Amino acid sequence: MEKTSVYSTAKECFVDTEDAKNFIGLDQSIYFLEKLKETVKKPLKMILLYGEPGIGKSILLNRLYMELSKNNPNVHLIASPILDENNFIKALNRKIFFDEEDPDFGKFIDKINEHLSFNSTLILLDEAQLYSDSQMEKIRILSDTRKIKFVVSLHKTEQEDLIAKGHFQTRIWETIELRPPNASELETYIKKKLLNRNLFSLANQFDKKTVKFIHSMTKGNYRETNKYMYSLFEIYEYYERHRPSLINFSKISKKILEMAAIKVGYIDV
Amino acid sequence: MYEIEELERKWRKYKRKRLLSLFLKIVLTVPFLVVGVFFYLRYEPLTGEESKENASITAAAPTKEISKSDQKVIEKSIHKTPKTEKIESDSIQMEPQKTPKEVVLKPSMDFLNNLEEYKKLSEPKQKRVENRPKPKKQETLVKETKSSLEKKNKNVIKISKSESEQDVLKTLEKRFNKNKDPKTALFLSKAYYNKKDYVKALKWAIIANDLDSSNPQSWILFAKSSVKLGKKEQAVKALETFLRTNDNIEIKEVLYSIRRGELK
Repeated sequence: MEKTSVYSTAKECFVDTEDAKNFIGLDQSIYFLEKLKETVKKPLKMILLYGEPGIGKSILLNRLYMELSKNNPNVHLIASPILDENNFIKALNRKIFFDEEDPDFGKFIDKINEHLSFNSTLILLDEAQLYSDSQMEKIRILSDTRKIKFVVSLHKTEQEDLIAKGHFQTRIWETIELRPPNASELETYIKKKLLNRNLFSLANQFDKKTVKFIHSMTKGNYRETNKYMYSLFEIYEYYERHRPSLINFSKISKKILEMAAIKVGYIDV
Repeated sequence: MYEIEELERKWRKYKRKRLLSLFLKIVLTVPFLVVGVFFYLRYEPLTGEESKENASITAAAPTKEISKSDQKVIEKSIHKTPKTEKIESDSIQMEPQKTPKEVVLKPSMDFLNNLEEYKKLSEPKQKRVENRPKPKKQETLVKETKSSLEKKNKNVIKISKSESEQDVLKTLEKRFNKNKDPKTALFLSKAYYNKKDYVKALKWAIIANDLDSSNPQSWILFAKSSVKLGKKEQAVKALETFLRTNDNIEIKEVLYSIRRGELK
C-alpha cells in the first residue's frame, strides 16, 4: 500500500467544509457559540448572526444545531435557502410537524398557534440574505406568533446596514457580529487543523512569522485561509514528489508561501 | 503539475520586482537622509563647546578692522583666563558682535502673557471668595466669569458636553441590551429626538413600542420622528392605528398638528 504524503493529508485538512465536526474551538468561536446558546434561551423573536463571508457563520450555526438538537427535537436547521415561498412553508411544516402536506401560509400560522407552545421551536436559517423581502416578511410574521424563534445568519455588506433593514429593525433583539481572527488565533486554527490529523511536525513548522504572513494575505478570513493553505500544501506535494531535495523540513519555506500567494492571487505579479 | 514551473517563473519575477523596489527605496531615501543629516549638523543649536570654538576662531583670526590694542586685549584675555573661565570671557568679548546674544539662553517670558490671562480669569474667583457675605455680587461675578469662560472656551465646552451626552447614550444602549427595558428605549428615543438624530429616534421608538405598545409616548415619538424624516403618511397611519383601539388626547393632538402641518 502506497504511503500517503504528509502534505496530501495536510491539504485535505483545509478542504473548505461546513461540517460541524470540523468546528475548531478557538477562543473567539467558543465564545460566540456559548453566547448563541445563551441567547437562544431568552424569549426573543429573532437573533441576527452576521459577519463578512467566510468568517465561520455557517459552521457556527451547524455546530449550534448539532449541540442543541441532541437534547431538543424542536431545533431545526435550514442550511441552504429555499427560495420558493411555498416550498419554504412546506419545508418548515415538514420539519416542525413531520407532515408532508402543503398548507397555505394562513393555515400554517393557525396550525402553529394551535399546536406549538410559547417559545418552543427554534429555526436556524443560514444564508438569509438570499431570502426575498416577501419571505422575510413571512418569517417576521412567524416570529410574531412567539411560538417560533429564528436565528438568522447573513452576510454583512458594506452597501447596506442590515440591522437597519425594515424587517429586522423591529424584531431583532440580539445581534452577534462575527469578526475575523487575529494572527495568534489564526495560528491556533492552522495548528489545530493539522494536529487533528496528527501532523505534529508539520504544525511545528508554522512559526509566528509564517502565520503573520498568512494572516496578512488572508486577512484572517477562514475560507481564504483554507484556500491558501490548500494551495500551499499542493505546491509542497509537487516538490516532495519531483524535487524533494528543495524541501526544508524544519520550516515552512518563504518561497513556497509566496508562490502559493501568487497562485491564489494575493500577490499580483 | 506543469503550472509549478510557471509559478516559479512568476515568483522570480516578483522577487526581482521586490528587490528593485527595495533598491529604489534605498536610492531615494539615502540622499534625503544625507541632506537631512547635513542640515541638522549645519544648523544644530550652538552648544557650550561650539561657542568656545567660535570664540577661539574669532580670537585666533582677528579681522583687519580690529585695532591692535583690541587684539592685545583679546590675546591677553585668551592667554590669561583659565579654562574654566573661558566661556565667561568669550561672552564678554562677543557682546558687541550681537551673535552671543542669540546664543545666550534666556528664560522665555512668554508664559507671563498667559499668566496675565490666567490672572484675569482667576481674579473673579478671588473676588468671589472675598465677597462671600455679599450674595448678589457673587452671583453677578459668577455669571461674568462663566460668560467670559464660555466665550473663551466655547468650543471646548461644546465638545465635552456632546461627548458626555454620547457616553451617557452609549451606556444607556448597553444597559438596554442587558435589561430590554422599554423605558430605557423610550428615553433613548426622546434623547435622540432632542439631539435631532431622527433616524435613531425612530429606531428606538420602534423598539420601545415593540416591547410595550400600550405606551402612547412610543407612538408619539415614532410619529414625530417619521414626520421629521419626511414620512408624514407613515406617522398619520401609525397614530390612526393606535386611536382605533385606544383613546388618547395627546395622540389626537399630535395627529391634528401633523394633519394641519403644524409639525414639520
